[in-house]
Amino acid sequence: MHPFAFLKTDGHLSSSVAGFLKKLLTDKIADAVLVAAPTPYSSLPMPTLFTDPDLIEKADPLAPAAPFNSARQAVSVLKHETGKRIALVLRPCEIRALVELAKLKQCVLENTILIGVECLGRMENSAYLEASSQNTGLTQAFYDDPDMQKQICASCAICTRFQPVNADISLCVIGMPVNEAIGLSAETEAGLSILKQLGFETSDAPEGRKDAAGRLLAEREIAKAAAFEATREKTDSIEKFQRYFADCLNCHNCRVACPVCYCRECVFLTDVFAHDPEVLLRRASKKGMVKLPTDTTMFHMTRMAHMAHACVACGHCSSVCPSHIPVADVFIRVANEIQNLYAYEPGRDMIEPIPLLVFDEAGKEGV
Amino acid sequence: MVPNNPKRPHVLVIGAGISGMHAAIDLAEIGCRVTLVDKSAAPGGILTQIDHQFPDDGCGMCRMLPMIHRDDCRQVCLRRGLDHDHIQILTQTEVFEVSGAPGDMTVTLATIPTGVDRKRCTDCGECETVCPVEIPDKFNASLSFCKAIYKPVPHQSGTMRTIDWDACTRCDACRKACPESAITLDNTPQTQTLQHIAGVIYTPGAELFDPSTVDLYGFGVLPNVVTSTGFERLLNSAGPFAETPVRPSDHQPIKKIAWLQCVGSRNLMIGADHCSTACCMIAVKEAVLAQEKIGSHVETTIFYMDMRTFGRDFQRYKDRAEIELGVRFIRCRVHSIEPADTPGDLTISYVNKEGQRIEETFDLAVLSAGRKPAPVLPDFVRHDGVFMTDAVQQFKDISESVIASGAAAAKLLKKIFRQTHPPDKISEDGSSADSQTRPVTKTALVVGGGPAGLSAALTLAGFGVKVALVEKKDGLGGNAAQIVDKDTRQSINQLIADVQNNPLITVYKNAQVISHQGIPGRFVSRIKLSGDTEKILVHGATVIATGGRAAQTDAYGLGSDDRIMTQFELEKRLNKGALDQHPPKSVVMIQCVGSREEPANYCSRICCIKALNNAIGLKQRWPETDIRIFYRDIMTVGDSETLYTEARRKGIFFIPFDVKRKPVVRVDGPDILVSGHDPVQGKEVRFKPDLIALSTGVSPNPAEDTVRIFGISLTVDGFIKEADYKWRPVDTPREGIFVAGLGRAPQTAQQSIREGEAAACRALRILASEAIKPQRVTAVVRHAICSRCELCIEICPYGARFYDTEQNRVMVDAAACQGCGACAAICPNSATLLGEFEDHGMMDALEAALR
Repeated sequence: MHPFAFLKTDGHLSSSVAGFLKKLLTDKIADAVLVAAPTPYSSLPMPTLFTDPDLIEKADPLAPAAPFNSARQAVSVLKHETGKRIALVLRPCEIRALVELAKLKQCVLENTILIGVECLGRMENSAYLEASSQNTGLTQAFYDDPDMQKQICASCAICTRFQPVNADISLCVIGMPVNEAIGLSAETEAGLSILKQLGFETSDAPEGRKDAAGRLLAEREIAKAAAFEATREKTDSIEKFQRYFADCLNCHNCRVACPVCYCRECVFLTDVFAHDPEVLLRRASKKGMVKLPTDTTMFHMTRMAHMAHACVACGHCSSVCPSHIPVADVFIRVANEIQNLYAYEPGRDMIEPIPLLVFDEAGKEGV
Repeated sequence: MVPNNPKRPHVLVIGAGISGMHAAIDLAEIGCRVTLVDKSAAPGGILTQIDHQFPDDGCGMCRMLPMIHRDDCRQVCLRRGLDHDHIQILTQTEVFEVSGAPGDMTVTLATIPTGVDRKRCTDCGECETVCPVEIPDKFNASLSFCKAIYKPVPHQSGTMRTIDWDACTRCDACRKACPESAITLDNTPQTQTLQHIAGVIYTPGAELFDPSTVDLYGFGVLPNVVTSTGFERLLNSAGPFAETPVRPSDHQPIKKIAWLQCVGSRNLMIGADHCSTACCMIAVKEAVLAQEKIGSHVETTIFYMDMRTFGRDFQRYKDRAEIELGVRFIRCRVHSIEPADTPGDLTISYVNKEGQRIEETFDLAVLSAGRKPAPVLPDFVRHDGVFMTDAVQQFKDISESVIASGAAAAKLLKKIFRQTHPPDKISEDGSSADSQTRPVTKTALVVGGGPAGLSAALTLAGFGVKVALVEKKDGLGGNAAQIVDKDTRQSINQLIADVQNNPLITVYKNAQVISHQGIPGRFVSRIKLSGDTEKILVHGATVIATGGRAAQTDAYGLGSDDRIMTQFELEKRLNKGALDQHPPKSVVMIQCVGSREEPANYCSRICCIKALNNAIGLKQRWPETDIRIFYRDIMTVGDSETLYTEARRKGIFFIPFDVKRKPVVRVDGPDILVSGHDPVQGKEVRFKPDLIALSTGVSPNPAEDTVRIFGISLTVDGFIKEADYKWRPVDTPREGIFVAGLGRAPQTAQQSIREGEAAACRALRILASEAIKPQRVTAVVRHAICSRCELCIEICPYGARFYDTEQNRVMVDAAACQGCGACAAICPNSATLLGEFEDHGMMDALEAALR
């Protein structure tokens, strides 16, 4: 068991968490903190890089909203070593994506403090904006009200990795009386020393936390299995797959939203797919017609081939689809199979090699 | 055709099997022009008929294609033919006479015409259609028929048809049918004389034994008795039974196969006192392949005398075949094969472990026919300037053929270099014409001063290359001090003296390489010398020969009693006369101590021979001494089989044991006791010997630091891993870094010396060039869209990519890049491309394939 400390909330969940983060800056534990905070113009929390302890009081990492997977934003401040120590407050899927991106040399994690959030799920942006316009204390209400917790998006509803891995400190809400206190779990030596520096007493985690997490996991496993089966039925032939993506506009929002699609420029935006009119006419003449833009199925299949081993199941590809195609449902399902095949779990371990690099033909029959 | 380039020394290679092809390719890459002759109708030797090689059950011959000057050679499957700018191939050609001194020899050749003018032939096949003569197709091991005008190796692209003059009836039908008038029915041999030949390599390969002379096995009478080559053809999708492998007699599915080992080998009745070396692993591979090609339901049984699993991962491959795939191994020489009552089936009678005589029915029997006893060699092989890959004809594993041919090529190069270039004339650095071309630093680094390192250094210096020899200890010779054999010791001492007297070789003792960077042709190493000083060395290539040592163990009570000793110790005592006062009356030897089982699951190569030599030595001194050797498989491969024969003749007893039922050694008061199971007597046996000798084998010197510094890797057993065990055994995956000796694989000192030469020969491909030019097809990076994820750097099998931190980009070393395309395949957004192979071509191909 990891050393565990209590962070008193006394009915002020958001400001207590923000207060904890503020101490990281005032006590010079971190030079900057990247954390979700509503902007002056909207209640939707955006990843924000704070250096001023006073301004960080607005941060609200437990708000049940995430306009995108913040690993992308984390990478932009961790591209190379800056000499500054940066604390990042991230959801489990964001940390997993960040680890994958670090393996792909897109960022360095050496001088960071990773603070993970136990995540009950995020609401779609529109739902969150609607709800927060009616309830200013939405964050607190979300943890108090089990019904509200059912309003999370489809991918979160089948998420089984809601507890952070690879975090130095986890903000724990599961099995906690959130109204009174949440937990701070020190999961690395560095995490423990920070808690001690901040004057926290550590003990064992409260009883019941493990059971609560187990119950949630069991519920999610059932939901996941059902969702996978439903999706499989909708996509188990090339014809069905094409039907599934029939309304795709080739806007590539899904690839922009995807935290592990790390290419500086997607191959589908390069000259490779900038077809000459002759090519289009030739394709049309084969069957008498061709839908434009072309290569829709190829785009999704290629993206799947490139990122399925690294998919962290964050579901943002679905959230951004203007045609409301449940993109994530099929990607998460396929990713699950690929990851099982290679016994690979993205983000689990920095030293776990990317399957493509260690692929051994022998013993991988049935791929 | 070979361009008549007088700058290139002209070399003749006799025999176009794997050894000859490998020597020819290396020599051509080093800067010779080569005439490669073979008496058969097509180059490629035995391997043209064999598609699959263990341990990966693929082919891989293409890994022998040139890598430094690869544009000189057509980069296609080598089984389909060798097409090299500097290699001329003459088939159906034999050498009659060699005269003159090395450097300027004259060679007389005679070529039997194919009857088909290759310049005119369009490969239309009309001749074959009209030919009325059908003969057994030798390519398919006579399991099918071909015409008297035929393609000797159907899959080879360069080879046109030839006429079997013995079968041809001169009916003239083909000549009349040929629309190009390409056929002449005249088989008068054409004689030609090659002049100014710098040197000759003789690698005749092995002729396979014809089992029809052994009438007990019914080969040639019973159609379902085939040779192992026949079985390979039978499994081949382009073989006689193209659709699915079936048995020859009635084309019924194959369900139960028996392999009979040592047919024509290890048989004194026919004067074959040799082991054919490769057949054991060929049989195991064929059993594995049978399951793969026919189905896992096929029952496979191998009848053997000793399973000679002596090379890298052979034992593990055999273990996998036995344990995972259920291949049955029965130690028994089969008496005879008889036709069974059911038509086509075969009854094989043998004696099982329990000594019972069993009759079992199979539907196919495969005879592992090895090589014929070595024939008398032609006189010209003794001519100065002719170099042989082996003292006699051998049937070898591919890896050993490649090493032997590399060593022969090295000897030839040394000889002809001495004739043509005084060493002081060699230039220090090549000159560079343009920025893409990189000059080669003509200096080599050799790591390790044992037999392999010494011979590599001498070979390189013999070619005028400066050598820095770095030895960790304060003496040269490696394990020479422990070697008792006089000849071997003397040859190592000679190497040491030659190295010390060679002005081109600088020896650094008590020294270690602490860093190594750069690219082939120009590496920079830091060497830590004694007294904590450092030296920076710039060099063009590196040979690693870090060696090995006696394996340490306390098995069977070793170290607990003076009478229990290693074979090394026994050899020493025997030699020093330490046993003379109290000659042992009874000796027990135990083989494979701590080897051929996990965690050291490899054969140490030297122990069987040492044990037999010691046993024979004891018997020579004291014929009355009882000697019993507990063994698993006696590994006297090749001609060392004669030792085993001699030992048995001298009355030494051999008791086989299973690894699960090892003998037990116990010290009981004044006595040492050995007990074990004797399968021949079918009971427990107990001995009270005066001494016990244990074959403890060898292990590699620790090389973790070495592989880290040089960016290479180790096998699970701690040996330095070569680029490819079979086809590139002395290369490492990093071009410019080569490996030889006991640090690579268990071997004798003599083998290490050869391996050092072979590694030096590979290094000369780089060091003999003035400069390394990038070849035509190499990878390029489109930096603007590259995400710098560096997957390409990790996947590149040639170490040809690196990250330039100053420019913040991924760079390709165009000279090291082999154009394999692994980078292009792993790059998700085509930020790396291979030459002109752009995605458009692939897209068009896809589009054409889709309807």
